[in-house]
Amino acid sequence: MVSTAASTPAASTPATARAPRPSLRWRVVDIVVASVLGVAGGLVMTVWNLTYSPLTAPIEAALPGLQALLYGVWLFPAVLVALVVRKPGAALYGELVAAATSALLGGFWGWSAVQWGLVQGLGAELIFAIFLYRAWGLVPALLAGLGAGVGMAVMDLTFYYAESRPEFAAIYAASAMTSGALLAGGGSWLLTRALARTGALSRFAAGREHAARADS
Amino acid sequence: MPTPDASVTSAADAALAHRAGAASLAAEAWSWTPAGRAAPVLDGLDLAIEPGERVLLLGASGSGKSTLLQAFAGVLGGDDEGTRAGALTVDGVDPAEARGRVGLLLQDPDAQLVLSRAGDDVAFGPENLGVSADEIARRVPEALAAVGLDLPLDADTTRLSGGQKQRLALAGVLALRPGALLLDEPTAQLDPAGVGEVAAAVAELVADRSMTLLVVEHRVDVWAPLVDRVIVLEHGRVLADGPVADVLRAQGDGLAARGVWVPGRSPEHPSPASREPGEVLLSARGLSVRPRGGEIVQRGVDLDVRAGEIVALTGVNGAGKTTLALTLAGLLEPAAGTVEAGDALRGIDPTVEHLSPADWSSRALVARLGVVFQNPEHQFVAPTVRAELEVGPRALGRSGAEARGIAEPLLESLRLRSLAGSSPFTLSGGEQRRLSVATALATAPPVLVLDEPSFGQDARTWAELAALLAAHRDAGGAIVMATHDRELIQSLGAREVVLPAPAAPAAPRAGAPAAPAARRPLVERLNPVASIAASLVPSLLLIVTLDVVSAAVALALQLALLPLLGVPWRLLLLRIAPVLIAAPLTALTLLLYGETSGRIHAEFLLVQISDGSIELALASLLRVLAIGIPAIALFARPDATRLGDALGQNLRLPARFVLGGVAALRLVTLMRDDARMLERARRARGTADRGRIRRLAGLVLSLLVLAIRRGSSLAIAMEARGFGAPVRRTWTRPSPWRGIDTAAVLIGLTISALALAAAVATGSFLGVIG
Repeated sequence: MVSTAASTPAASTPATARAPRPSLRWRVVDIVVASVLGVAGGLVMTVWNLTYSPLTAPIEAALPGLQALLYGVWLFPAVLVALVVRKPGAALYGELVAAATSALLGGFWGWSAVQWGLVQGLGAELIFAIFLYRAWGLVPALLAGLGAGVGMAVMDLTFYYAESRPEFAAIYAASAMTSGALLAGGGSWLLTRALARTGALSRFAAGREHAARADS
Repeated sequence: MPTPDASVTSAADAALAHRAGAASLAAEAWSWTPAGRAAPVLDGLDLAIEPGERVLLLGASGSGKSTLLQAFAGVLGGDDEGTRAGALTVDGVDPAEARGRVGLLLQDPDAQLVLSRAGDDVAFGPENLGVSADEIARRVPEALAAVGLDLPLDADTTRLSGGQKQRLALAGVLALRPGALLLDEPTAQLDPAGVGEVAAAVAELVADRSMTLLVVEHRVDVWAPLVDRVIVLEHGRVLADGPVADVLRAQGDGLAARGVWVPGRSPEHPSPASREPGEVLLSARGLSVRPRGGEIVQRGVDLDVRAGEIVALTGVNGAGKTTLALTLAGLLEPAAGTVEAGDALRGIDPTVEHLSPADWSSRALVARLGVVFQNPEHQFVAPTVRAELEVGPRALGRSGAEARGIAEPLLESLRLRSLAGSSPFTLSGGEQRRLSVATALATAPPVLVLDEPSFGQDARTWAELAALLAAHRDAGGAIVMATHDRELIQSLGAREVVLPAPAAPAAPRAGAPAAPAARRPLVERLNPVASIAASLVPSLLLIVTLDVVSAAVALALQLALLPLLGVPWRLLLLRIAPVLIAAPLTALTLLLYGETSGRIHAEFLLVQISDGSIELALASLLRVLAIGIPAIALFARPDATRLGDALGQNLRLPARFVLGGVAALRLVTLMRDDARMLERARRARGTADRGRIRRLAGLVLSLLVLAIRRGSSLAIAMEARGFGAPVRRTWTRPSPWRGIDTAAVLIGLTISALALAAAVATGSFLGVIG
């Protein structure tokens, strides 16, 4: 079949023409860039694994459970990958690849990191699904980060801090959710905007929207 | 030929039916406007290339050359990504229907190899197209031989030289048996030896006209002897089209002005040095250098760098040119010997005590040594071009107005004014090079250190660069540059320091010697899916129990079985060390804040240490170890390719996602190198004198930009090799599930069952729920 797609001559296409509703099918570039971002996220996690304890120890000393305020770093691949590729399953996939990467690089928790990745990724994924994969702004990003934080709190309080006292569990869960929303959600939203500004996202709707804003 | 699936067979047959000799390429009034852009990149293009023709495609950057190649390769993307008009065909059909007929080779060798072993990578394309395993086994050695690569099939692709990687990528394209080869600046990122290797391999392949050739390159001299015809594109239209000599005669001046390297039209050379070299600014004595985490690559280097002179470090790849340059710049510690700054360099305001630049602060460094990295994207730290130029002056404590006063003239003289508000990452290659040199010049450092500054640059940028370097030299500055560029060395009258080739040849080592399967340790023989399952079982058990006995029994049994895996003890200890630290910390938390019961031993603020919390602490210590140790031990020797095969074949996860993940994992090494280089660049730019966390955060954006760029390019290369085709793919590497795999999972289950039973029997079972 010879390509006969265009209905209007390209030269007269108005710059502001609205693209059709973006397809939810994964293109090759979506898969590869999501994978690469997941791997980069895993690399960041690995560095963070080696860095975080001196930072969180004083917070923990001040108020036990509050250390989870910094744990959102482990959650950002879920939100970032979803905001960049905007496909169903992207949050889950991004967080899983990041967790698997940190496991393969000899991370702290070995393969069990993938279980955390699964639950945290699902937490974020659920929020984007509730928005029917149509909203990718700051609010969905914050909520998705919060969702990932819920996943982390559930996992940590079940596996590591089982039978901790309710005060501790409550502070811990609230801190994890706040951190998920702000660091992973808000942070990924800012990061996606910054990436769009560099032109690196030109093959993604997230990058093209920014270019359109910059033009007008 | 087996016929497992009717639709698959017919698709493969249809593809094979086309495979008759060279392919024809044609465009009729073809236009392509990327989504979100107003102007078309290709605009009513008409051209026809006959089967077996050899064509060089020229044009300024942005003229649509790469887009045209991607269109013929069928990887431009769907309606989401742009609007098309007119017709574009391969052998008279839409490129999407002619999958495998067109092979596409891209510029960056590192962004088109997919798998970590050479043979696997060559097989990747035919696997995607569902070619039978027997046929692939024939094609792989054939394709490697065709590009002159004599490598073991399990050679590690990360250890190859640039020229070897590019030839390997070419072999991966040839394994598709294409009728047309499309090459997009295939030698732009190679050193002269690599350029020769790739050009010779291509010449051999197209000599008998069994393939059509369409190549995009700035370096006309390399490709002109190989082609019959030149097409010049401008603004997405054909500007000129004809035999090589005719087109170059008619268009040569215009092309040269737009930066194309036209034979016989050298770019302008700067005038020779106006004065003799002055005092010594930097000197090395008995210097040995090594890259971080690597072996020593040069020993006993003695070198003086004087004001007003240019020193060119040359030598074959692997001789350590970059490593030596970075060591001289104070960005790597000397492995032995000394690098010392002369009084004239140290003494500029404010003076520094240390003699060795490696001991200086980032701020002291940026005033004295300007560094230009090979990849400009490593160098950038600011959101806009203007801010980029102000970074150095601000690091030196200049006010905003002063910094602006320094940036403005640089913007003007380097033709960057219209881009002042743009992100440095959006610039073209030539613009990025000018900006990266300008950022180093902004603090007026006496010494400039450059790594391959003219690499891959067009003729116009080359001339501007040469002029900038000459001006720095004539103003009394010194320059050290690692380079392969003979013309640059000559035109600057540089003093050449030839680094001897490294003692041990940098030949690629094959992977681990192929020991018979029975001799390999169990941990490497287990199917990765079995390893995952076996390591997950204990953690699933430990969800339901919280008591000391079950965790202790599980851990004891695991430790007893651990030696069977055959993981060397040192490696094992290294890998589990973090868990040995994390487990006591978790226990401590529970000791202090765990549920209170029984006698209370101590109490202050929120802390309550009781019988209950002591027991919880002990149980959690054992639990964390019992969850962590098997998970780490079973993956002490991870192999991403085997993992991918197992996930795709044994677990039947979607192949596209599994392979996407495996391909991305291959980039980890590159990302780690990127991260190190980015950190060095921040030190060189004067912004590294702050906390580790702020430095890390600053790296993340650049790291992601570099990762996305490689990923986008990799996606094009993978799609051009049939990745994502609606065909059932062939898996050439078997991923067998053996008895030992079942046994490993059963042992994991048994351990859990025994642990649980022991807890129940001793009456100490403590469930999570209830």
